[in-house]
Amino acid sequence: MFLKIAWLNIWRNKRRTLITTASVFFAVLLAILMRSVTSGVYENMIHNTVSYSSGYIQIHQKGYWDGQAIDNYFEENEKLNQLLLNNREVTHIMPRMETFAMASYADKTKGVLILGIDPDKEKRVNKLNEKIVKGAYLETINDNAVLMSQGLASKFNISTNDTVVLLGQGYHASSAAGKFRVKGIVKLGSPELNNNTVYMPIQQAQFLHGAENRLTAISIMLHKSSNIDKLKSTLQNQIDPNKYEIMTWKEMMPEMDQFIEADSTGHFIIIGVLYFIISFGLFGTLLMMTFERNHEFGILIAIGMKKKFLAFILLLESLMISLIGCLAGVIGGVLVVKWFTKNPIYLSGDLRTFYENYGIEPIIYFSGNKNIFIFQTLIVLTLSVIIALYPGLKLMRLKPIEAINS
Amino acid sequence: MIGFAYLVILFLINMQLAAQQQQDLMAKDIVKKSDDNMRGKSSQADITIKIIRPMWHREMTMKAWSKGADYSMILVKSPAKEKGIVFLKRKKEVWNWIPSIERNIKLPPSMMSQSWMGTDFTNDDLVKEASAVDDYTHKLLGKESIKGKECYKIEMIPKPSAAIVWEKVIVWIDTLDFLELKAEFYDEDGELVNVMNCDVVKLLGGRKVTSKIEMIPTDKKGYSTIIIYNDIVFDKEINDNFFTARTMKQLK
Repeated sequence: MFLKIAWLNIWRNKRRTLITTASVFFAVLLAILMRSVTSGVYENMIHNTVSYSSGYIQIHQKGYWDGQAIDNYFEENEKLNQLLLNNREVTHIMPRMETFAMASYADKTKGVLILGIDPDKEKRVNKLNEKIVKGAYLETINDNAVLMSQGLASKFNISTNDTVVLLGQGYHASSAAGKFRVKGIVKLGSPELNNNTVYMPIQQAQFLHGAENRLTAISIMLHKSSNIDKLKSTLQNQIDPNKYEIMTWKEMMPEMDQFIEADSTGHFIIIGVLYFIISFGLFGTLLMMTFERNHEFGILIAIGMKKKFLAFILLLESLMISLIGCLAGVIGGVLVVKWFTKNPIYLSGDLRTFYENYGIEPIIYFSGNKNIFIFQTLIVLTLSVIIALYPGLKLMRLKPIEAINS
Repeated sequence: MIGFAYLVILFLINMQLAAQQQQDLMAKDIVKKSDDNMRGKSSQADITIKIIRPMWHREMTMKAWSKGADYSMILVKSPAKEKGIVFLKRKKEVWNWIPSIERNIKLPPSMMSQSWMGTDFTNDDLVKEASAVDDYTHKLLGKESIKGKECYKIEMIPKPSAAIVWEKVIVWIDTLDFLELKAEFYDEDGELVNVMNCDVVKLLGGRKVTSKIEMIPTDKKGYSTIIIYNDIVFDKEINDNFFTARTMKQLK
């Protein structure tokens, strides 16, 4: 019965209800969009960074991370690959072999990072082929050529079709020495990678190091908003823990995780201010609503309506308004986020070059993580319920005579 | 009376000093004899090297030439992937020819104390840039028995001018054949780093030599490197021209 009275009450004055609903609606929408953009930008940054480096999750031979030596490489295993690909969260897996070696051209010698890659898989994940500034991309896993990063190439003053000499330590104390044709020059986002990376087809890298069929790591790519920690523990149960170790990018690149954490603290302050503004807006409308109906409340109490019932009805009313507002806000939020995911905002000008210099796509990406919708809605809903307690309190202290006469 | 006692003491001290010098001289001679014995005027050797690690083993075969203390050359014959790699030592220089990249690399002094071809030997051990005779001061510590053979125990301390990473080396040299049977290498902190055991005395090229040399780093469990001399030819004339960069590229 209370529900029915409350429901009828809110539709007695449609305009008043709509205004309050609208303020809740905008509050929810703003909060959702704000969170969606900030986490979208982070997710995009992480996605871009890990697609070149570690992947979201990496599998190594057990003990590799603590002793990163070539002797800790593991044998490629079709069964493991299948197991990983069967997981629904996994979008791609990339076999990688990483070693350090001396590179020499003409009279210059430098230490470089050799990345043995599967050119085809890499192309699909991080579009490495589009980063070529000169020459051509690698074709197969045993193409007898390498790609050199731009910074390194300019230090060597080397051009495409020149031959670079690589000399390093091979598997089980063998020596790794070889000559390779530079097929293409790639411009990489991270300045660090751009200054010392040589990409080599993985079979060539394995042969060079006398480590046939062996890998440093399998890098696993996931959907942008996947829950990494949950997936890690799922995979951990599926693979042989005595043979492999499994690590997330947060464990491998703690500095990036910390940067994001520090940066998002700033965003939390901003979003805190947003909540504050939202609450006052809501408070204002609700307060006006109660003042308007002061006369009506006075009469109701005078003719015998119990104050606590009335307060309860008032609470139900504001709850309903908040719910309607939140629902509309979520629907609106989903639509806006969907729209922007399909048609992302492309940055231009200085900001674009800034992003590109760091190897991040120059787009503003909205995160579709459902946690954002749930959390933001819940926060606004809680806020409105707390605020709705005030009119009830006010009502409990209402003096009927004064109210009727006002 | 006091004057006489003084004289006696002085005489005794003098005797002591002389004996000490005599002993040190003897220690040096022992090391020299052992060194000459193993080296000869020139030598040609077929060598097998085994690298032993907890998880894997590896075997390489090589051919080595040497002439006096100044020249030596080592050619890797197997495994196939490393076949043709050559190390050349000329006086104080070490060169490394790598056929797969057609480069001849001069090893800088800083690389001398690094592992040679992944073994527990350093580049320096290999080319013996430092001379066991001239770059150390020797002291006879006494006699000890190793595997039933009586040995001189000699402490060798590098001279300040020598580029040697050890604080001291203690060697055991057999009193009969003057063969080095054991050596202990100590680092700057006085910690024992490497133990070298020489074993399997054989008659090779007309000389008695220890044909198996095992190097064991003390801080790594399960690590060792074994050198086995399969054949040695001593004192066969080798022209100085042989030890040149040009020969390196042609060796097979």
